[in-house]
Amino acid sequence: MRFSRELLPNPAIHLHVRVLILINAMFARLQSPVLVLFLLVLPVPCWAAAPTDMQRRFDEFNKVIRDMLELPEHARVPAITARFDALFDAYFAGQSLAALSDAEVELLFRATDDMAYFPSGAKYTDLLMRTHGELLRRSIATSRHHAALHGELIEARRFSEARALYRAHPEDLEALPELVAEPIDAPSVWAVDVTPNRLTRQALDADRTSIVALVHPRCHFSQKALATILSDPLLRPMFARHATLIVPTERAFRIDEVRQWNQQQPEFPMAFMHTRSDWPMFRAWGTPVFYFFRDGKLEETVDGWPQGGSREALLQAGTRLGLLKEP
Amino acid sequence: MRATFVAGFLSLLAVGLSPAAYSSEPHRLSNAVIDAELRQREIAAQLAPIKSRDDLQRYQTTTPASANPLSKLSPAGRQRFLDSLVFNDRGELAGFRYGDLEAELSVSEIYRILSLFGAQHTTSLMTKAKVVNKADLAIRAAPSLAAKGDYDGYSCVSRANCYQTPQYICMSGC
Repeated sequence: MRFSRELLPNPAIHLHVRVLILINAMFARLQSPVLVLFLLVLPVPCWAAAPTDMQRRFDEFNKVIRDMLELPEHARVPAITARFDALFDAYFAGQSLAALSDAEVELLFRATDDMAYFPSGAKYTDLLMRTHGELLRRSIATSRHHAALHGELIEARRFSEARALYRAHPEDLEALPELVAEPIDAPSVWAVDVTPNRLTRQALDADRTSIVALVHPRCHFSQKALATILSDPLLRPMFARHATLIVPTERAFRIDEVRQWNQQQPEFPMAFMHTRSDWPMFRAWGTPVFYFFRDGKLEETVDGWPQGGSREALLQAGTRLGLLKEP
Repeated sequence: MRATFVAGFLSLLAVGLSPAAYSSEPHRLSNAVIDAELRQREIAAQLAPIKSRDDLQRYQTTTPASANPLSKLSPAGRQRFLDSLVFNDRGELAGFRYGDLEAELSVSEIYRILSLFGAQHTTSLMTKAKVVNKADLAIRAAPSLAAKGDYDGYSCVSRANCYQTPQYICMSGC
């Protein structure tokens, strides 16, 4: 029975059953109508409110994510990944997934969706697909599940699978933009094309890879940083000559927002990163982060835009790498 | 202080949203539209009953469940949502986890909850929430500039950058 399968692993339920047995015994002796009512009413809210084992794991996993928000990313992601594996790996072994209740599969999907969101590798994209498949098999997958998986496939740049999912659920998903790509054996970006809703994959401009700036048009720290850089007599020419602005991979191509930026600042266009694996030397994926390279080797990193900005740090890095020229 | 913040935020929006930048865009925005949106947000924030953790505790203990929109969430989902709230020193909501709102509630139920914090404009970012009635459709259809100041999929942390975090929103007040 699905009902008992959900409840039995929970020690609190075992205790509750014991209490019921005790009350039942009392009822047999006392024949009290009050106890009859008590028996009828008590179990429902108790069973409904008691968290299942999956719920407790889901809560613990979310607490881990919350508790680690302040950690640097290179420390945070491995810790969260390890905790996910410890909490949920067993559910993906053998036929375990099929043995879960519908509610448990739904929670497992949410936990896996959260895990896949971090830059943690293809394993979690695959697990999300498996869990989505299980929801489909039970006919309980909704537009929310389709959209989550679709976004993850876009972020993982698994475009053919994203298109297949769209074809299966066109009413719930947005079609990918037209993607024009030639094979490129080097770090590359998806540039916003003049044609609406089209992206073209391009190799990075070799003259402008001394500084790779991870930014996002929606990130207010990026906005503050770029406003400072573009109005600064030293930083602006340095960035114009040497910098590429890249939007890190995420679960959608926000083309309109990047196009708006590019129209306003054609000298400093943003483009979408193709894949994170092009940049194994990056330790932080927040925005803004400024990576300074010399001869292809990462030399300096300026991470974030705190109160008061990071102008001095950018100037110092530019000076050390010989990128700064007098205006 | 508040006026300074709003003016500062308006100037930030202007960087990316000047009318010139929209001259060839279908979604043309004028300064008047941006100004109106910011005024609405400011009013919502000023009238919000919850501006701090103390306010939240008071609200939860004095509001009957039948009148409390937070009671629409499951106990576990409610706890996760409340634990995730980040307030700034101006009494504004600076970030929160939206995953449980989106998974459990309809658009209008989410709107009612976020109105407690003056953050109802972020409802439009929760694109996977259920639409079950006309109010949901109306909220979904209403134009919003939420995306211009708030960043879904990122959390408000103290490291001065936007930090990718699932099911969180980093708001302009972060």
